[in-house]
Amino acid sequence: MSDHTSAAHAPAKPRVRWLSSFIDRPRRLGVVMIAPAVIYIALVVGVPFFLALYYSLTDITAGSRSLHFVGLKNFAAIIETFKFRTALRNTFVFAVGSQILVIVLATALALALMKDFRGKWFVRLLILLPWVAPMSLGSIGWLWILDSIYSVINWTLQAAGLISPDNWPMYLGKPYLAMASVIGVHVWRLLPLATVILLAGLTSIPKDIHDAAEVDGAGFWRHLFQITLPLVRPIMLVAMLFGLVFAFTDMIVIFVLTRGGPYDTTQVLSTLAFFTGIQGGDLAEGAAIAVFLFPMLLAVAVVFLRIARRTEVV
Amino acid sequence: MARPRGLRRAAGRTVHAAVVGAFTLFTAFPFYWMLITTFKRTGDLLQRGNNPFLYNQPPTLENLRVLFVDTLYVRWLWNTAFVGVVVVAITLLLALPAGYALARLTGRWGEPLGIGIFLTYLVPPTLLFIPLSRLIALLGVQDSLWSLILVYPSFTVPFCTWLLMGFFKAIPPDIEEAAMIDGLSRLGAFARVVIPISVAGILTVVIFSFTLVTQEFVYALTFITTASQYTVSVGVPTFLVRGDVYFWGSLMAACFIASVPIAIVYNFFVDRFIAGFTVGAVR
Amino acid sequence: MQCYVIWKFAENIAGAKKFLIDYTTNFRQAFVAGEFYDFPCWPKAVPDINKLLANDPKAHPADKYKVLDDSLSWATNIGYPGYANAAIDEIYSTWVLNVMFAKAASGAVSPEDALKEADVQCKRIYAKWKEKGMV
Repeated sequence: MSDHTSAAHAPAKPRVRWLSSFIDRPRRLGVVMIAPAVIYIALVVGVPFFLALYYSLTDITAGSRSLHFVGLKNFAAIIETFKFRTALRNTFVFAVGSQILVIVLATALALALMKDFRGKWFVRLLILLPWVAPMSLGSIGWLWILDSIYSVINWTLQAAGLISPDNWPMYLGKPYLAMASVIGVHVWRLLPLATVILLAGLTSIPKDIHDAAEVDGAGFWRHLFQITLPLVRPIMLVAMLFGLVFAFTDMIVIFVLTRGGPYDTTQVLSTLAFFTGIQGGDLAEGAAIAVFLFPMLLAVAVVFLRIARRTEVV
Repeated sequence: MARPRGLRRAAGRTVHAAVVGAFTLFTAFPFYWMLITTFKRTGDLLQRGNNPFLYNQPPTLENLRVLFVDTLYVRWLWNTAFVGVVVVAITLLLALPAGYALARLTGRWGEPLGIGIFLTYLVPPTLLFIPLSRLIALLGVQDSLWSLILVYPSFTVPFCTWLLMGFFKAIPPDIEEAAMIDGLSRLGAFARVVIPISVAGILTVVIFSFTLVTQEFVYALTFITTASQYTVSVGVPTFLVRGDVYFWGSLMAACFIASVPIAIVYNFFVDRFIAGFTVGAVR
Repeated sequence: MQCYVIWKFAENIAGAKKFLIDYTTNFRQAFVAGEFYDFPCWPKAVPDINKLLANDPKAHPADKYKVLDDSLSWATNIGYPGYANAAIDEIYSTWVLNVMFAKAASGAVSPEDALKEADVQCKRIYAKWKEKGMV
């Protein structure tokens, strides 16, 4: 066995050797190696999750010191409200809209970055920036760029003669524009990571496949859609899943930019849970709204993993 | 014959440059904007008629002074870095063995367990932070960086375990077999042979986890209330947004300083990061 | 929600009360130092408020804020004519009235419908907190 101990440590050897050979069985070693992670996750994710589930079935509030079990009353109550249904719809629009944009744009960018060109190192640096910025600060940056009075975008558009001074679009103040803006900022923030993930997929395609397609005379678009994209589909699905989870659960971008938007038009489930539970004081209802997210995420994950496994490229 | 080819290539190159240029503009413009705004006087900033790209009043260092002197920005940067490093270490400690175990040592129940661990990633912080705040209070670590260090691995470990599992699966088992024939135990083979050749995967985990930590907002906002214990993500908005008064210059400076140096560092490792992701996620 | 409260289980209720009294009655310093951002709870805390508002050295023109002269007689607490309570807090924090006004003003719904919507929401919130015994 592992024998780098000297004779001077002879008395300890038998015990150490017994221990190491005891856990060295594949099954036992597997358990020992995976146990810390599983225990940690069970304690820090599992327990609070069930606690949150429990809270959503009670009448706990921010100031109460006792709680009573009320069953599914919170869920029944919120499903009826207009606010909740609006938030539910907005959550889907926001998540799906931003994800589709991210994947399309990231694919284009990843394809463009496959080639070597002068200044590529610097370009990569600039493209990494949104991912690295702390999101609360990045959102505040965008808040200023999209400001209704001082927006630099509007100033530039006006200077270019495209809009008139009384006609400045209110990016965060009009319903559809606001949703477009928060989707835009979210795409901005996810683009680097998605691009990197897709680059990983693209670089893993063996060169012979591309060469064979060239020889066969495939045009650019056919090559792209019939050869390249199907081969990166598994990893694209991973990127999409990751991004969807992010979009469903994140609240910073919307909180900072619109606080839920011009009359709830950018209110999503996570922000509604925050406003109801923390600011509004009704923790139980806030927890119920937040709990709603989980089955949706689970369903999405299951679907994606199933598709990913089926289209696995061996 | 040669001319149309050359034209097509030139056209292709222009399109390529245009695409790259457009994306770079999209991602980097806000940072360029932050850089300019950092040195602008507030009076200059809040004039609708002024050209925002020029310094209509002379540039000033006042915003930087407010950021570095009137707030605890440097302290927050240090806090964030500290939490980041420790959490990355914990993540590696937990995820490396777990990923290896799932890849090699667990047979039938390995796959479902791996997926189960990955699925815990789906539980959102906006759901967990209330019960977690009670747990933190119970442990007595509220209002300290240790509360974050305790909780942050909950969103780094699941994903990194899954990634490393894929990564280790892609390494042919012959290498470890050879090492074990040479006399190493399985654990020894893992530590001395597998880990050294998995640098790309480890790097991916490090970069990924560190980014997640610096970005995090909800837990930091909930668990910590003392100014000196804030991380950058929470401290800056709390102190530089007073009611509805935004200190734009200082805010822009804070974001710029917190992002650009790290991005430069990451840029050196992006190739390895991609390699790690390639092996870990593409199977 | 932007009121001062003392927990029932606080260890030094008398001290906390004294602190709040001292703080709000000495508010003139805060009023001036905050450049009139926060107005006092008690009009008598800043007896020369009209003089200050009429001549603000930092304002251009100096009497820009004179219009706020009588604001203390018409500004009121959230929850007027009652006190703020948990139901009022939730209505305030989930933007029920703001949404109502915005929808009516922008023409998204008719004023009657906006009112009806807000009415339903407020009634539900009030009923909820009444059940918890906090209203």
